[in-house]
Amino acid sequence: MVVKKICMMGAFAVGKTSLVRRFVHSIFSETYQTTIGVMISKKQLSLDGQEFELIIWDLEGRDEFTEFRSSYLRGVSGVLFVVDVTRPQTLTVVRQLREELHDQLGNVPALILLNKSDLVDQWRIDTDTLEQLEQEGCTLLRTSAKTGANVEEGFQALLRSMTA
Amino acid sequence: MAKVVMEGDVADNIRPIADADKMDGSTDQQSAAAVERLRSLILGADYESAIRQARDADETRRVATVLAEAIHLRSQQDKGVQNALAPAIDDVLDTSIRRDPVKLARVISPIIGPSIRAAVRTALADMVESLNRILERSFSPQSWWWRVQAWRAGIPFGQFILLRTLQFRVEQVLLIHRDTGILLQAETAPGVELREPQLVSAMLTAIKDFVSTSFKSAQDSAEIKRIRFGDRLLLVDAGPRAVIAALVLGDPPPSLSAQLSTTLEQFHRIFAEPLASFNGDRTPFQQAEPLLQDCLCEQMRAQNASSKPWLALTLIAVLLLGLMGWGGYQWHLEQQRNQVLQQLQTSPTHVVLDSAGDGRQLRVRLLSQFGAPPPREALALAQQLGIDLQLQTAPVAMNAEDLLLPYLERRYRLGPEVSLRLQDGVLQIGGALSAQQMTQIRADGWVQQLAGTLDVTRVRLLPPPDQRALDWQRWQDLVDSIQQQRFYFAEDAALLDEQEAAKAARVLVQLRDLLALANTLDQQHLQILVHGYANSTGTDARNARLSRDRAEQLRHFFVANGINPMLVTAMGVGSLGESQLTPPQKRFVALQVIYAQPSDTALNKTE
Repeated sequence: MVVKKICMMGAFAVGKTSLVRRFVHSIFSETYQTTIGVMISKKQLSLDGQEFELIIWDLEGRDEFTEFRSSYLRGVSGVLFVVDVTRPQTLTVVRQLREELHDQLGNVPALILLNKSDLVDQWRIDTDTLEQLEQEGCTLLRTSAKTGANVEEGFQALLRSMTA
Repeated sequence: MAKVVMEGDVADNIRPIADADKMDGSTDQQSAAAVERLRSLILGADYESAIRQARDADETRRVATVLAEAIHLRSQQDKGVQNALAPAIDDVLDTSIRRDPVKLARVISPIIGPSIRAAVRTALADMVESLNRILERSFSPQSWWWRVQAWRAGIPFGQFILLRTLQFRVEQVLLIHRDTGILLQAETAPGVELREPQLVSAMLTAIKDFVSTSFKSAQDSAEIKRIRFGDRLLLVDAGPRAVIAALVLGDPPPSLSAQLSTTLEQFHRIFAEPLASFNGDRTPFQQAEPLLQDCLCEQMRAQNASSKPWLALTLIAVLLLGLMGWGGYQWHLEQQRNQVLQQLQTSPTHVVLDSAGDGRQLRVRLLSQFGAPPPREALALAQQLGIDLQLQTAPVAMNAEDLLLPYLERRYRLGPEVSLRLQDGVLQIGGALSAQQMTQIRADGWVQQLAGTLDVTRVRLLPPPDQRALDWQRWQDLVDSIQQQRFYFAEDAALLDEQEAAKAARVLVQLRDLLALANTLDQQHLQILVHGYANSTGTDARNARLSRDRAEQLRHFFVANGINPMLVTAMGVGSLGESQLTPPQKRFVALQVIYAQPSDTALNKTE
């Protein structure tokens, strides 16, 4: 079995830990508990008949690229950026994190998860912005940790791009 | 017929003739045909085969020149050569071992012999040590004090003992990829469970990174080297690409850190290439298991480690002495019971039917002459020795004749051709007896007591037996017994199983007796033929080989155990074909003894 390290990144309270809990344990809680430092989980996935074990490093939500993040990202095989679609500034944070990640580690397979997509009434990110992101080469996926929509698919898509 | 002398390449010798025949391009085909015709006329029918042989020889030489380099080159590229050779090598090894297992045993015995002896010594030492620990922990005053302390501390007694007697023990060793925090390989001590090793290794990496980033100074790169929690210590050492972490119970000596560093260096050296190209596949690092196993060491506290296992040795000595004393006492009792029994057997008015004894009890069933007094002497002896003698007597109206004559027939194995009669105190004996039998009867105590006189006028003394005839009789018995033996084999097997091997060992003893008799009887043409057979499954060639292997197996066994190899010949008969025997009955080896039939003996048995 091949073991891969991936990281969850994004601003605070965008739902990184909820996505991991939904993916690993298939549970969701409305209670918010902020992650301090890093939380590590693991999950086995099968892709094209090959077994993988994902070691998921769920990094605490910070807006700036700290030195801690830099050390946690060492040896990472792929990154899931998480955006809260009800807070446009979380997309700005992800843009900055992407650039800094690129500066630090070069081209690392990555995916942007547009989380909380079940809150349709509170959606605050316009379509033009998303289209512009796609034109920049970003892969976007609308997810909901609450309903479980596209959560498994998001991790699968990242794994596929990591092994491509 | 032309004779071709093969010097160098024959094709080269012939080519000029062919070239000379090529006059122009338009007549190439005709010229070639003409050349062929010319070759046939000059060189005759041997031409083609000579050319073929020359080419074959040439190709063999070329292959021989490059064979070693080609194998070496291909082995570096992939496993093709190994895969191709493996079945053939397996087959050759299998055949060789079947044919001569003794050779293999001779080769490997110097290698594995010392290892086995060392293992046995270590196992015995460990057993004594373990026994000593158990005794110390179970029965010594200290152990009871420790029980109290464990109870007060609220921890299990076993754990308390471990903490008090153990200097240190390495419970887990982890090798972690430095950049990713992915666990490369882990080993644990027996009885220790490793839970979620990947998460442990990732969290350890995260903590290490956190501490390094938080507290490092500008001058040095601070790194976690040890983490203490409770009774355990986590030792960490980081290399350029991997980190080694050891979870230790107790207080390890400084040498353990050095050992971990050495292991990490070795790991980097051996696995440099897989570490550099690591992509999440941990398979190559499974070979690091022996390296990590070496780190799983433990050490008891000095006083315990250096002290002799006196308790265990004392207990063993006491047990041995007890066993010896009990055995000696039982032997002494048996001797006393035998004394009483012998005393009973000397009584002329009683016949011992059977007896059973246990400890100081002796139960005897007797036939007693009607009106005869009890065996006072035997009873007195039993009382003197403290034996509880229980007699079950059946009185019979028994006169001296009834008593003495069956006794003599049984004691001296007198057949029906010998007549006995006791009348008026005279024992009349008639028929054929050996001189030895007569001497023994004369000296018999019962005869002297119950018969005042012996009348042997009708006795015909047998001549002393001919020793050579006796030897020949013994010879024939041995030959018959050896030739009747069959050694059976499992399907497709040429090795004897345990039961058949025991049979072979018995026949070996008979063969040795036979060889000893051969010297006595001057048998100079003795030969033992070992015939092997197979059932009808498989090809004839395979059955022939299998039957030969089976016969060879027996022959090697006899030769390896001292039978002159010149005297034993093995041969495979192959399959018996259609017969009434079942397939298992057809897989056997039989022996045949070839010898010269004596002309001077009356025992004219045919071979």
